[in-house]
Formats: sequence, C-alpha cells, structure tokens
Amino acid sequence: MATQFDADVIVIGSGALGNNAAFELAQQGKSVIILEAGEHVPRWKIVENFRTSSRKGNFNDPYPNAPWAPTSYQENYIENTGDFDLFPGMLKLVGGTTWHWAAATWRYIPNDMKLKTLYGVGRDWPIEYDELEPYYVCAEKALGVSGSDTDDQSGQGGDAWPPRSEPYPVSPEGDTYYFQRIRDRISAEDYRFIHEPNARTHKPWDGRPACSGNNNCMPVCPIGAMYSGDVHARHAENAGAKLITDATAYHLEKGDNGKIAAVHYRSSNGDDTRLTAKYFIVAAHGLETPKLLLLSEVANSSDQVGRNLMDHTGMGLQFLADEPVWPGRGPVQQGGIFNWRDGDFRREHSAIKHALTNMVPNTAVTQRLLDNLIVGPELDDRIRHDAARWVDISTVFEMLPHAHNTVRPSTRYKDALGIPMLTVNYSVDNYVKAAADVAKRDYANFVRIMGGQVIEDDTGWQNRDHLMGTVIMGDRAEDSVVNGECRTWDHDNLFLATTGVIPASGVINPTLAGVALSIRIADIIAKEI
Amino acid sequence: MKFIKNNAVKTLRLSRRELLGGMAAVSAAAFFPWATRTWADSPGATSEQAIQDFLMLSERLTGREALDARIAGRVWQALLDSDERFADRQRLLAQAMDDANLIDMRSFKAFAATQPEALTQTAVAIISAWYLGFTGSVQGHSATDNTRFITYTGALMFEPTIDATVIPTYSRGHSDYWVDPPASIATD
Repeated sequence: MATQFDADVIVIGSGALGNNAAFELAQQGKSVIILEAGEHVPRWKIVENFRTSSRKGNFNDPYPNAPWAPTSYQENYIENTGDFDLFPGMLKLVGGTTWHWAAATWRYIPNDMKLKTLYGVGRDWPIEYDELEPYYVCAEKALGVSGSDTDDQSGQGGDAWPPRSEPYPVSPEGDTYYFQRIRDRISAEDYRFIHEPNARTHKPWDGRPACSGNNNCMPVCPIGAMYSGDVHARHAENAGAKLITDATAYHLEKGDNGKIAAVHYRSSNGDDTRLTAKYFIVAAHGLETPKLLLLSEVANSSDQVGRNLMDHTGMGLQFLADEPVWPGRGPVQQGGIFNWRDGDFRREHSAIKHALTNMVPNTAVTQRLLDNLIVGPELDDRIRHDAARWVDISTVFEMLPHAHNTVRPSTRYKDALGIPMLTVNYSVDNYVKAAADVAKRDYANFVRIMGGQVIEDDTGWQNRDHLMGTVIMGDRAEDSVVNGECRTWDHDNLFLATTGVIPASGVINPTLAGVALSIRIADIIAKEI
Repeated sequence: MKFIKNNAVKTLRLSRRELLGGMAAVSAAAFFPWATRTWADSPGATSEQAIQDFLMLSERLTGREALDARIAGRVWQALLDSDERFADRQRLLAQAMDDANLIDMRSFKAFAATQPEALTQTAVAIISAWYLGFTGSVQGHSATDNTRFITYTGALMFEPTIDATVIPTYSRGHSDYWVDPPASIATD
C-alpha cells in the first residue's frame, strides 16, 4: 500500500528564501505547504505602525510582536553569553525579515567561495561560482534586481565582475547627488566606488511600482517598490501552495531510512498538528533553523549545527562634510567603496566594505544639536545646515567560521508556546580586529578628503543582521551540516534554505545567494519527486 | 500672557472646545486617548490652564508664534506621563525665564549656564518633544522603552529641510529625481 503524504514538500518559514523555493516547486506541479509562525499583515498597516511609532530607528517596532511569534527584540528572545551582544532584527510574519532590509542584492565573487584555497583562512564553499551562476540569474529575475553590467564588483578597477550569463534584469537607478559628490571627491584618491545592485527597482517589475525615493526601505517601503518576501508568498499561493499561518514548527520527526517523516507545529491556541511530506525544507533563518534542528535532534552527526555563527559585524562613521551633499534624497543606500573586497591581504585580515547610508538624518542631527543646547532660530538654521552635510558610512567585515560562535535553544527562557528561545555566544576574532585598524585609517582619509568634522568615528562593533554559518555547508559529512545542494548529510529528504548554510561570508549581503540556493533546492527536489 | 499670540489663542480655544465637546457627548478617551488622564482624572479647569501655559512656554522655547494646540496637548500629556513632577518643573522653568527676562532664545545657552541642570533638562525635554515628535529615549535592540509618540509629520525638525528632502515614507514624486541636488544648493 502506497504511503499517503500531506504534501510533496513542506517549507518551514515564509521568508524570501522559503517562498521562492515554494513557488518554484508549486510552479513545477508539486503540492507544497508553507508553515509560518506569524501572520499576514498588509503593508498599509505596517506603514501606519511606523508613522505612529515613537521609536522609528527600531526597525522591528512596526511589526507584530506576539508572545507566540516574537520579533528578535523581545526580551529574552536572545540571551547573549559572549563578548558581543548579537541582536539581529528578525521578524515573524508572512514575508519574513526582507520586510525591512535595504534590498542589497550582490553576488559573491568566485574568490569569496574559495577563501581557504586562495588565502589559507576559513573554509571554502563546496560548490563553485559557476554552479551557482544560473541560479543567481533566476534569483535576480525573481526579485527584479537593478544593477550595473559594467562595474568590477570585486573592487579592483578591472572589467565587469563577477561573470554573468545574462545582464541584470533592470538597469541601475540614477546616482543620488549625495553619492555623486562623495564618489567624485573620495575616488580622486583611488577609492573605488561601486553601484550596489538592489531589488528596489526604479522601473515597474512584477506588479511592483518604481521606487519614488520615499527613503524608508528600512523599516518598511511604503509603496512596495522594494522587494519583500511576501511577494513570493503570494506567487506561491497563486501557483497552488497552501500557506498556513500561526503555525510554529517545533519538532522534526525522524522516520525510517534516515528520512524525516513529519513536522509538528503549534498554533497560538496551543493546538498541535503533525504533517507528513516527502521532502522538508527548513527556511527559518540562521538562528531559528539550527534551533529547530537541535530541538529535534536531527542533522547533527557532525556536531556543527548551531556553530560557526557569523554576522558581518561592522562599524560606523558619521561626519559633517564641508559642502551640502544632501543625504535623504532617493533610496537609503546605493553602494560604496570596495577596494578591500578581495586581495592577498585576506590572508592577514578580513575583507571590508564601506557603504554610504543615505537616510534622512534629521532625527540624529536634531538630537545632537539639542545635546549642545542649540535652540531657537539657530536650531532651525543648524538643522538645515547639518542635515545637508551629514555623511554616514556603514562598514562591514568578513567573518570567519568558528565553532565557539554558537546559537543554541535556551535552557532558561521559553516563548508563549513553551518552545525554547535562543542563547547566542558570539565574539569577534583578531582577523576582524586587524581589519578594523585598516577601516579606521580609511575613515581618517574620508574625513580629510571631505573637509569633514567628525561626529562619530569609533562606534565599536555593530550588528549587521546577516546570519551565516550556523548550518554550515561543506564537502564532508564529518564537519558540515549540509552538502553543496543544501541537503543535510544525515537526512536525504531534509534541505535547509537559509543563509545559515554559507561557509565563507565575504562582505556582501547574503540574501541573493540564499534565494539562488533556494531556487536550486527546489529544482533538485522537483527532479526527485 | 505677553508671549502668546492671538492666533495661537484661537487655535487653542478651537481645540479645547472639540475636546470638551467630545467628553460631554461620550467620553474624551474614546476620541482622544492621550486626553484621558488629564480630563478624566483631574478638574478640567486646571488642565486647561496648564496646557495654555504650556503652549505659551513652548512658543517661547521654540521661538515660534503659532504652535499647534492639539500637539501641545499631546506633548504636555507625554511629558506629564513621563514625569509626575513635570507640572512643577514647567512652572519653575517659566518663572526662571521670566526672572531672567529670557525672550530671545539665542541667549538660551547663557541662561542655562546660570540655572540648575534639572531646569535646563526640562527646557530641552519640551523643545525635543516638539522637534522630534516623541519623548523619551529609544532603546535600539528592545521591544520596549520609555518613549511616547507625539506626532510624525508635525515634528518641527522636518520644517527646515522640507523643500530639499522628504519626511520618510512620503515622496517627492518620481524615480531618479535624486540625481540633481535641491534647487537651493547654491545657497545651502
């Protein structure tokens, strides 16, 4: 008698990665169920929540924070035990955390994926760039990526790089005046500025309108020009996938022959449900995915689940330029300085990316002036003067995977469903500290070239919310969780669609790679069912 | 009363009439949640006078002639909710400003140097609420903090740049407008 399943494939998590995998599978005629811990919230409600929020700089604030589906800023959701307090801004609702990103959609360059071979540090990816390239193309079309076909994105001033089999779906948007002025002045000293490929299309794409410069990519694009994961929740449902909200997966049940037999989820009223499928994809981001595996005691014969946690831990610089450059016009970021993206120095210190932040700075400008007791007519004059000259640079560093940087189910705190929350142990190593010295020298140069007055050039380490490494990909079952297909070594019907598989972080925002890998997962599974 | 302008008084009266009318009809709280404590818990006349005084003080502190009376009520309530001694602090501040004959706010720094720290903090708290549109301190990686929302588009910090940038979530119109600087660039 044939076994009956609830679905061909169950996807756990309705973020950009899970939904893209679900859509591909549904399009290929497979029956798909998507489980989402949170709810569907229409964009207008999030926009209104933002407009009436008293903490607009807190990007989780406009989003639902239910006791059974908390955001990552909920008290005790993450307990930190390491040197650095890792607090990525993660969300639980249909569409996931790409509701608030800035839609940076870089590709890794081939050398990023061969870090160990080329520079003797960290790990290599188990796949090469050429294997991923066709799926980068698919991912860029899915998200509607706007980018330059001529930039050398490795930052070395050469020809277009990395290699592309097709041009970007959308041309680059115009450079902001802010970007132009800073680029024109700083690049005179051989700092190489690169346009940032992005999914904030400036031409209509896939039902989304063109970006109109509302300058609020984070925490919510009010017009939906910027891609967010809810787009592919909708596409997946239209293609026949079933999306179940208020469904927190808490257990993966092992079956015969090393397969996963079922997922158990709990709703906010405490009801438990068991669903079976031929294949399972866990797409619950780089912290919740390893937590679910550890709670279920699956996929961990290597003891690597929940280890090797990497963020692109960063630093920042703010200064006042000697001319009005007017940040706040257009999208919130457009690119940056890439000299330190690749080179032999990666033997000694991590790669570095300096990105220009282009957010309306009035809150920070005004608070600073008030701290200096500048009030009355002078306050208005200075707000205009300083807001026009405010330059904000956000730097990120390449991290290496270390077994001691971990995420674990909490032994102290549980959510309202009785499911353990998270304990994180995270520290920054000397490879990154050495790069911070280099970044600070760059900061001094930027300030000098722009005739600047420093506001802050020693921020300490900062969160960047790019979670990698925690279910690490490799070519040996002994020291990695998934193989190059993102299939767990221990269970051949369990795949992980998360940037947590990434074994070498580079300096670029990893979401596009995650989407590309997810579409590839769907293709692999579709061929096997 | 020498600092309050006629138009501000009119605005205040209009606003107050709406408020009191609302309370009489059903409940002020139903329409103006921020007003509950003031109008429900304490005698109306006291609050009215306090808010009127607060509006006058706010106009002195910001150097503006006609602040929005409804926002004044929200600022006042938020500051009162944050600090139960706020009404006393407000009175002390106004008295000190009168005593020092502080009219031109360009002299504020010199004035502050002669005053207790707490009094300066009260002044900055009031100005800050009007400019930023909220009170309290934002905690970055937390789901809660002591902030209170006042207004977004009414925050005074946006006025000096409104011709050049946007109030985030709103738009200046179309893609790629941003390749050019604001029209004012030569004089900025």
